Amino acid sequence: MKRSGRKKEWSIVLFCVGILVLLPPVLSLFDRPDFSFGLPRAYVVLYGLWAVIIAAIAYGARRRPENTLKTTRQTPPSRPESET
Amino acid sequence: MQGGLVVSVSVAYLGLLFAIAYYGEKRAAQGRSLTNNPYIYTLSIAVYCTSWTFYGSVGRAAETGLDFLPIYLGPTLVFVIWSVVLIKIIRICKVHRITSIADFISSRYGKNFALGSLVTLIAVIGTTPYIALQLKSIATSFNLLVGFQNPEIAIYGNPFGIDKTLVVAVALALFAILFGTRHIESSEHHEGLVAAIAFESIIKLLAFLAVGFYVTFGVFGGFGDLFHQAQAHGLANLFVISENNDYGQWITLTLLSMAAILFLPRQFYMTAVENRDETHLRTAAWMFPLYLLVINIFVLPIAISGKLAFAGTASDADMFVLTVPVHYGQSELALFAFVGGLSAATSMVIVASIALSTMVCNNLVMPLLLRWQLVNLRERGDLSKLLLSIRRASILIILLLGYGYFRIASESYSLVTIGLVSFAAVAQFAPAMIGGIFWKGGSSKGALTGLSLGFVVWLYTLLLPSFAQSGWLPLNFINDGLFGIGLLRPYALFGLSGFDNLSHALFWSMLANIGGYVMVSLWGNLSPIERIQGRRFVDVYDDTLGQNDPRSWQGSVTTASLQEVVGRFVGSERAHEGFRAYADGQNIVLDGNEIADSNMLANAEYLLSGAIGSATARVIIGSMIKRENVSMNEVHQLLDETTQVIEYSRMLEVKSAELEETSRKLQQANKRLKEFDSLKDDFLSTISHELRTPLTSIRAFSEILSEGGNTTDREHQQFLAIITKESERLTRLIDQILDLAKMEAGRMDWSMSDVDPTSTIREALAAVDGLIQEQNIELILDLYKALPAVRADRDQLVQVVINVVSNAIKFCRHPNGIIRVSARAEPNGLLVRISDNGAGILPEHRDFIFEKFHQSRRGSNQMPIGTGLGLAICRQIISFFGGNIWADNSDDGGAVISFDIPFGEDGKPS
Repeated sequence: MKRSGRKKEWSIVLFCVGILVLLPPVLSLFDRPDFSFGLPRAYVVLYGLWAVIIAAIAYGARRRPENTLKTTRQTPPSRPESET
Repeated sequence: MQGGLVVSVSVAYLGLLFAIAYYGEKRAAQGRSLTNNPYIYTLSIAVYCTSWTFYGSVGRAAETGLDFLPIYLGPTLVFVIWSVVLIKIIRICKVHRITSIADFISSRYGKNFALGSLVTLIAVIGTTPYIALQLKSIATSFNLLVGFQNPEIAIYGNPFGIDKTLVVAVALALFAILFGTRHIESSEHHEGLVAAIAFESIIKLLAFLAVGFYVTFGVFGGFGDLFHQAQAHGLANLFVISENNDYGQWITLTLLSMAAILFLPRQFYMTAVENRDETHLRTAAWMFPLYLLVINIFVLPIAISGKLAFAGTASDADMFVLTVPVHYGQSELALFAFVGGLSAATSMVIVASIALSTMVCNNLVMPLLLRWQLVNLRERGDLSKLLLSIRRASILIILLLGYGYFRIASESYSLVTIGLVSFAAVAQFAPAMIGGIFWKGGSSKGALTGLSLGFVVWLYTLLLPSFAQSGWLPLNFINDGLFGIGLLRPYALFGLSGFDNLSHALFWSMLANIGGYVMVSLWGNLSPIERIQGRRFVDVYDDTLGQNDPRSWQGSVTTASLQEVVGRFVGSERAHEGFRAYADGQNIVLDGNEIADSNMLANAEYLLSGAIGSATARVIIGSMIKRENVSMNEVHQLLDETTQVIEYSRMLEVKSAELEETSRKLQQANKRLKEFDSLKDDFLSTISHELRTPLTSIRAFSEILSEGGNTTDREHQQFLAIITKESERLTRLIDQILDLAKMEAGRMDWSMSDVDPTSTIREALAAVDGLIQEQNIELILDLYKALPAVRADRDQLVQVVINVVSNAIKFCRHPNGIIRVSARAEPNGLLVRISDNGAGILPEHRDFIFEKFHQSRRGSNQMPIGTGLGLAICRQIISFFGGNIWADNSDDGGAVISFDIPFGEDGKPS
């Protein structure tokens, strides 16, 4: 399987974001015995974040069509020759 | 509920599992694999969810709220970076035919036997509490379900006369033996096992969701109702992770579970070894976390409902999944939940025991047997039977160890606490593994040191205290430290306090482990094989199988005897097939008598690796070879030297190519210089000749005049006229030479502007009008009035027209000369044609008339008419304007000189 560097970058960024939101101190922001949407806030936020991370993994892991890779590798068109 | 019913349901369930496994293997044998798809792969990874998840999470949630979640968030985070870590591990396993995590680590650090056995030891000891956890959950759930309405056979009652947990342990051992050790696979893919485990993952998910749905929507009116009732009954403390913002354990659990999902022997086995296709990971990467999320949605609701249902009674929160349905009279649901719990526990026990038994056999027992020469390879006999016996015995021993830990420690602990002891043991693999796949500098001594230190600290700060608390060790070991030394208290090592036991143990063990690994690795030198393996693991993507393989074996063993030895481990049919496939791939025919070359030996080692691990395979092949084989050191030196020589010769090649190129350029330059030199000579000789001709006549006539003598006045006048004419000719010649030199040197001052061609041509014709009149030549003008302007220097353009027309005057017919001047707009610019009715230009002269000093003569003995520079100057000027000048003949034979000039900026033809 060919692996592009982009995918790696995407997953490492997502990993950092996951670490950030699922560990203190960000964690303590929503860890209160309050209710949101009629449910305990920490319960809603944790499972919500979890679902978002899973969706983001799925997005990053989707198969990209081959040609998207090729277009990014194309060389820019050569400069028009100067008039003298 | 009737004990008989529960027992028969359990037996029926295990029978079904076996049928699925059997069917899966049959399908695989027919080539129609059941398990070769990403969904089965995902479900097989879900072996991660054991009784711990099924029963233990609810128990944990009922006590401390949401802090059971890191065990599932950690794996999710690991699967986020699947493309960085997981895919690399899987690729390495495929390339090197890794069979277990012990095999992986020992192979990475130079196929080191000591390291492999240490990893095996840690894995077995570390997994023991985990297996105990499963046994405990099965026994407890069985007792609860049977004994709920019969309090007289209370928990740990003894209806069969023997300990039920022991029965469960032995039954599971037999089951695992039947499953995983029926024959030795050289590919190490157990299709049947994977199919059964995937099925178990579905059952445990459905069972847990069924209980969750019933509790949330059957007992309560949905999530909102359930949580509000909980708040009303003072259970709001379960809604948070930590009431006093103490997240130490949360972080520890996240880190531990991240290590666990990668390095638990059964996870490693399912994720990496049983992986059929790397692309399956693409789906599993999000689907497995989704499985974890779904199975965890109802953990808190079930925990809360249990707390509400059993408020005030001493009920085991770990069993709420079972006791809550029973409490509300749903015995069928409770039975389903029991089966779900059974599936969770059996899947873990089966996979873990098979994975561990492979490690024990390949990395501990076989190397020892070979080393002590208890197994003689020269003897005949089927060794695959020996391998199977070793594995079967290991499975039994591992389960009995689990039972032993259950007897010693587990009665006083909750399920999660027991499981975390295992997680902390498995985390010890992390430095050697992660370092091993990303850092080439890690050495076997470093890994050995780190693992040993980490393991000892784990033993001292987690496992031994759990024995002490159960009364198997004196309790003052915990309170006063070893030998009464306060600094050695296992829960407050070196006085470190303020942490929970787990974080405390993780901190010290990781400090010792990572510190030992890195320091020792940096301290010593890498042996050649460590360096080679390090490169092959870290740069696994550059390394394709069979190429770049430096493990050069040399020896004098025949292929037949090689095949026979391999056959004794993997079965003769498989060996035959493996050798035939190799021969087909190499396009050779094996008759069995040829000496196996190094590739063949590597192939045999590869086949053996799948069955008995890389370290053992290497020992076996090594012992097969009679002649002393090339030492790794020599191979490495050889490689180094060869690389240097290749590099050097490549540099030489580059240099020589550069030299060739330079010499070619020099030759070209030299040739051009010579051409220039001869041109200059030609030019000088021509010009001196041209200058001398008028000078000679001027001098001759001047001398005649100065001598006085007998010249008549008329002659006098005639001579003076000739002198004047020749002087003019000389002046003109010198002017033209100067002009041409200026133009060629690029020092001409041009004043370019948009010029009206019609007026310019008329002006030029006016300048030569006198000459035309004098020669009585008819001039025909064919000019369009509204010609667009051209980009040119006006004076130079006049000069061109004068030169060309003067040329035409010279060469047209005398008398009755006709000169035609035409100008018209063409797409490329203005086209001017000047034709005469003379003799025309010979085709072979057409290219030369624009050269300097080319002079046309009417006849060989006639004087030249022109200076020979006019047309050369014209060509210089026209080229400067960006146009062309050329000569051809008209239809009636006269010469035609044509030139074109590009239009000016606003003079394009419409």
